[in-house]
Amino acid sequence: MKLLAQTNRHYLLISLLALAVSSVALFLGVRALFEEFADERLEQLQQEITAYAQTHDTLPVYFQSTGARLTVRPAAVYLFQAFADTVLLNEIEQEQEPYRRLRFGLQLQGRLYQVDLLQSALETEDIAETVLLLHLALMAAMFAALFWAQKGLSERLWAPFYHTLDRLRTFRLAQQEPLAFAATETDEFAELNATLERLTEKTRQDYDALKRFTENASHEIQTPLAVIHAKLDTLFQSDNLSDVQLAHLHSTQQAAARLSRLQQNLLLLVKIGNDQFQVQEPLDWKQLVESKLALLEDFIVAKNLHIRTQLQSVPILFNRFLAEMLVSNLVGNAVKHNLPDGGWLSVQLNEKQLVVTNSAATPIGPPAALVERFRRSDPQSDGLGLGLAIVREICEQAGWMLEVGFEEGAWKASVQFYGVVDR
Amino acid sequence: MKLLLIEDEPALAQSIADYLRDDGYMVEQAFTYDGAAEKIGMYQYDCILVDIMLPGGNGLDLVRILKKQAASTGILILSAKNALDDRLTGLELGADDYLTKPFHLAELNARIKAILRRRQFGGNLDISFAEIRVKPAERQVFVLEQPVELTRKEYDLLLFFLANPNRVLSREAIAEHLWGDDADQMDRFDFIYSHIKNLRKKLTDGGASDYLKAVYGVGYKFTAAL
Repeated sequence: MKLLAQTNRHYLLISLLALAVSSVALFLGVRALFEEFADERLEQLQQEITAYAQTHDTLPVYFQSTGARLTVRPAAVYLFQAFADTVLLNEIEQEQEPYRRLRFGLQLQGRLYQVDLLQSALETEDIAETVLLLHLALMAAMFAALFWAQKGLSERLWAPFYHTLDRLRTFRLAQQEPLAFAATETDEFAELNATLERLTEKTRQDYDALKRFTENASHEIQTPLAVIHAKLDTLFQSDNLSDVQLAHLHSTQQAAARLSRLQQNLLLLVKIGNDQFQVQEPLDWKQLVESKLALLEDFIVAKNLHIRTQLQSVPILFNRFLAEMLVSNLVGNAVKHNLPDGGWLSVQLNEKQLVVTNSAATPIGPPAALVERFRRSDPQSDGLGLGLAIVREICEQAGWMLEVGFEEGAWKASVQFYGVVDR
Repeated sequence: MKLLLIEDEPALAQSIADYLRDDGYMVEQAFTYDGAAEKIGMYQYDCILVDIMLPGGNGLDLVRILKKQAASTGILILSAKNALDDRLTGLELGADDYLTKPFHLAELNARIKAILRRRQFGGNLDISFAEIRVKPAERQVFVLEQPVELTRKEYDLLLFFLANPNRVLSREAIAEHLWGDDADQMDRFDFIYSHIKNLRKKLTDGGASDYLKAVYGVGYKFTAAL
């Protein structure tokens, strides 16, 4: 949930709570106040009546005009004054109406009476309710106004933060320029931006240094390897080598060859990651696939593979070297990891995708893991385990989608040319 | 044939020079950019082997100078950088070929021979070995002047052997020559074996002696010696 939404939600909850509490308090307060007024008035009336009664030994006659109702009943004992809430039937409207009652005792002409003074409380309730409604309306209007004001303000205050977030989202380790944020007047955000700038710049530089190191190290390894190869070639020409010595030399040469292939592929991965293959040209991918299949003819014939192709001549703009590498690795793998005899291989190409499918023995482990570096389907294989990793790297750089999977005895690798354009 | 080898790594330079001298070339060496520039200015060479990363400068600049001064000289770039840009730049500048380190000396030798043939004789010079004759321009092979039909791989294999007669060629070098980067395909040695077998049969059927000798555990040698 967004920060603004969270703030608003808390704000709303607290406002509602405050509104509820204040409304109840206001309602009760107003009612209590008016009750007090009513009580005072009733007491005053009582005093007047009592005083009149003491002087004249009878009840005053003008009484009815005061708006209060009076009932007098004979009583057995003298009653002290007591307030109470009660209801009486309004005979005109046929409704029960609230009343405040003051009951007190009176002695008239030697006999005891119970006097009830009743004052309508209808007005009190009405006023309290009206005040409450007014209060609610005013408060609601105020809260709404505050809410919108605060929302607008927050959005403006937090704008730099969301900008920073957007910039961070586009950050790539391999990008050439440092990440720059918009200037902001808020100290906290300025500090955040400065920290992030330092952090991303450091990471970027470290990554850059690592890349350069890898590339330089690879180049440096090339030369000694070239010396080893040359010296071995020279040694082979010696006349007086025993079979055992030749065998040793041969193993050494094989190891050296493997080392240089490994090194070249690693270097290639680094270079693809560095986006160093930028020259693009429209390529006939059909021709790339066909020439690769022709090159692998020996292996295809030896394994007695049945080849099925559905190739459309599509000019797809791409770097020639990378395209060759991608086709070469996918088709090469399909031949290499095929059944030993009588398998099949199918290549489909159109403007949307390149799909290579081949019969294969069940792979060890999940197929998707094979795109990791140094993963091989067969640990005994003399492959380097870098082929699919290179294909994946090429696809990632191009923004294409690579999918590999194994189902029903067939290995399938597909490249969706425009599957993932967002990067 | 006079070659100039521009390579700053002494051990590698020595091996290359020895191998080429054994083949009858006159090989001169330069180890720095300045040394190479001086030699290029003073002497004529048939072919120049140049490393790109040199102490004191870039080998590609030497290629530029050379194209101005002696346009007929063959140029083979040797580089540890498999960078496509360098390769393209090199070839655009007029280099004849590009070889990435590490390479097999036999491969280097074959490339130099191809360059010299193209440069000096317009590719029209026949390659002869005893009763075998190859016309590279037409990709035709004759034994005792009778044409022999070879597959593409068999032809490539024969030419590779003819470029390196009397040398032991390891199966790795042969595999890389025939299949390039796909040399790591499994069972490649079986294919080499069957191609060699077929080539040998076609040549001897045509009346040639058997010059293809297996070198135990290593590879093959094309030689007239017993």
